[in-house]
Amino acid sequence: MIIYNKVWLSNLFLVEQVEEKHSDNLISDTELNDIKKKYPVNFYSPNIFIRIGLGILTVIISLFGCGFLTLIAADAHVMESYGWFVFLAVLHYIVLELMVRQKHHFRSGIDDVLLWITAALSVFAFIWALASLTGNPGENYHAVSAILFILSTFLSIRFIDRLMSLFAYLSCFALIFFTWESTGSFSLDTMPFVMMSFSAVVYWLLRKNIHNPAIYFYSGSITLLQVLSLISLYVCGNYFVVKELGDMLRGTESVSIPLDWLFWMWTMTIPLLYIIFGIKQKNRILLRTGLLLIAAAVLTFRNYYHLIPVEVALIIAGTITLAFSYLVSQYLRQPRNGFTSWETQKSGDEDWLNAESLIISESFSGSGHPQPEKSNVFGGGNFGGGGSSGSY
Amino acid sequence: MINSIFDKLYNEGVLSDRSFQKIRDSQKSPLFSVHWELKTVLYLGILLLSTGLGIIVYKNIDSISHQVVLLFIAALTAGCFTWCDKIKAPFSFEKVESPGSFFDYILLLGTLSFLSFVGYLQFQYEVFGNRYGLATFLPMLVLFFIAYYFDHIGILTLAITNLAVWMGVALTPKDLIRSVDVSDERLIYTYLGLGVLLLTSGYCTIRLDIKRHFSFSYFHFGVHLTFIALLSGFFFYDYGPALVWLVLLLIISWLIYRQALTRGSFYFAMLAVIYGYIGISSFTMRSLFMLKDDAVLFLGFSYFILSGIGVILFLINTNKKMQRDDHLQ
Repeated sequence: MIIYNKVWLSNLFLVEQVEEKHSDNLISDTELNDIKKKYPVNFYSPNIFIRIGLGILTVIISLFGCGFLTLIAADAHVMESYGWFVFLAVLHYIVLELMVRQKHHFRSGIDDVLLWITAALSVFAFIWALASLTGNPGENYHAVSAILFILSTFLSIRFIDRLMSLFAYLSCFALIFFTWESTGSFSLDTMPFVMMSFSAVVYWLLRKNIHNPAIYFYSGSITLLQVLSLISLYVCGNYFVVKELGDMLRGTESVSIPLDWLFWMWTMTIPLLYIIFGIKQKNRILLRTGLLLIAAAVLTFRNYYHLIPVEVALIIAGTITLAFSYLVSQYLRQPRNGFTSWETQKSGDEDWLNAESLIISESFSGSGHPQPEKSNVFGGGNFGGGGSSGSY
Repeated sequence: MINSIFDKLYNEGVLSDRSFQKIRDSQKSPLFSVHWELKTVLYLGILLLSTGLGIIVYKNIDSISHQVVLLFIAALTAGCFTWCDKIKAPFSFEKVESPGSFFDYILLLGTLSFLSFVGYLQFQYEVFGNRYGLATFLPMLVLFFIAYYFDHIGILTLAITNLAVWMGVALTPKDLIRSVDVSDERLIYTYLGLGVLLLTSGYCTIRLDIKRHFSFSYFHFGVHLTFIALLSGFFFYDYGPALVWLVLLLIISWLIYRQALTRGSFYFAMLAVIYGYIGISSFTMRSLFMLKDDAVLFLGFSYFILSGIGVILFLINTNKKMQRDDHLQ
């Protein structure tokens, strides 16, 4: 099923692990070179920036190539039928297969972009076809999510693509959602539990099969799917989502919802449980997802209860997070229970620092510039960090 | 069996006893690093805190005493800088290792509250009067000083964006996209001047060997600004004079491309190629549209298809060249 040369693929995974040990100074240069020679990888996978450049150019060629063909065939009124887009999708897919099989492209930017365009064109053509066959555009949620699911599952399996596995998960989620919704009047009340069970089952299956050799090459997709299923498990039971989405679908405006204590408990405790289990099992995915969801829990709470003004809440939260991270990093200067606050792997130091500095300039550069033009308006000065007021 | 891959390599004899033992030892007591998690929480803390302080000053600007606010911000600034100064490594023109990420972010907090302090002073007491240039020039100098004194790249980028503010232009990507105005001649020259200044600074940084690792920030902003300014100039002027801008653009992209090749920087090599390609394509389009012929559409489409393939081949070749040089090192 996988389009790539499996020997090279497993060599690639092996060499990557060896390189990791090499950067930790556990393996010498000569050993690394010997292993690389013994396990050759002949994929064409250029540097990340070259990959981006190749991707941009592929978009340009595809865009103008499609335009060129359409222009030539314009007299035959090709634009008026979905068949033309099926043709373009197939054309892209053929080029994609050729690039991968003949030229051995593997994450080169060219194959990435061709894959996305193929998927986008096929889905577009399908939606069009469905609309013209059934005669009512925009009401075919089941069919669209089903075809999206089939297509993205196929592409993610064949090309080991993470983005496609993301679409596969989301479309499967949507498919179950719409199917359950159309089953009857109780469907909306039970919806959160159905979707929560779906997420939980997906996560459980992933964890159970994590060492299964059959999915060895999909480690990237598996990681992503774990994060997605954990997030959707939380979101489906989040008070805000359950209440507001329920209102939206029923067209009502409720003051409270049945079982609200359960959903509030879920909203508040799940992130903490993720973090606790993440620490206990030394599971980075659980830990990071938990940290992310803490923010969601805080925002949900603030949406319904304004106990203190925003700025006080910000300052308290900022101080707590600062103190927390200071204390923990001090505490873990000496490794304790296998935890450390030091980096265990050098992560291409220079590049990370540069990326970090650009994030800083992007998020803080609005700070403290007096604004001369508006100086007669009270409060015209722009103090403090920018770019964060939106969500609070 | 700890890890089948390394067992396999060891049995095949490509892994020496010593390395294998080292790997086994490291896997017997694996360390779980929470470095990046802590760092992100730290970043979030600074973001929340500085935003919160900003709002509190902004909201209470006419109720609480100005002296109290000023005193508080000043105390925070002084506290941060004193602490950082105490634990920092001695100054050097080389790269100085930071004492830790907490240090980096406290320094950032100090710098941000310093900026608030200056902004507040100007807003409330108009210390700089109507000399708005001075009100941005002084903080910029201080920012550059902090960046070099404490060796902090993040603050260097803040200093560079402040330099742009002082010159009257915006620099961060989101502002750039919003505010670049190709119809303002003066603005184009300002951007070009700033871009060239930054490129020169980056070059001098390497040439004079002063904080060599700062060169990326100078080049990053310099390259984007210069190219955007040159492209804007190309579109601003009539066909004849615009050619001067095009030639300038091509020369500069060639220079940056050569530099990137010798320094092994894929990022700048890609930028030079893409911006150069945008320049040539813009020229082709402008020339084609002057033809006023039905064939223009066909010619334009064929141009993009063929040139796109050509540039792809060029990029692939560049990648090959650079990776080969990589192996030689």
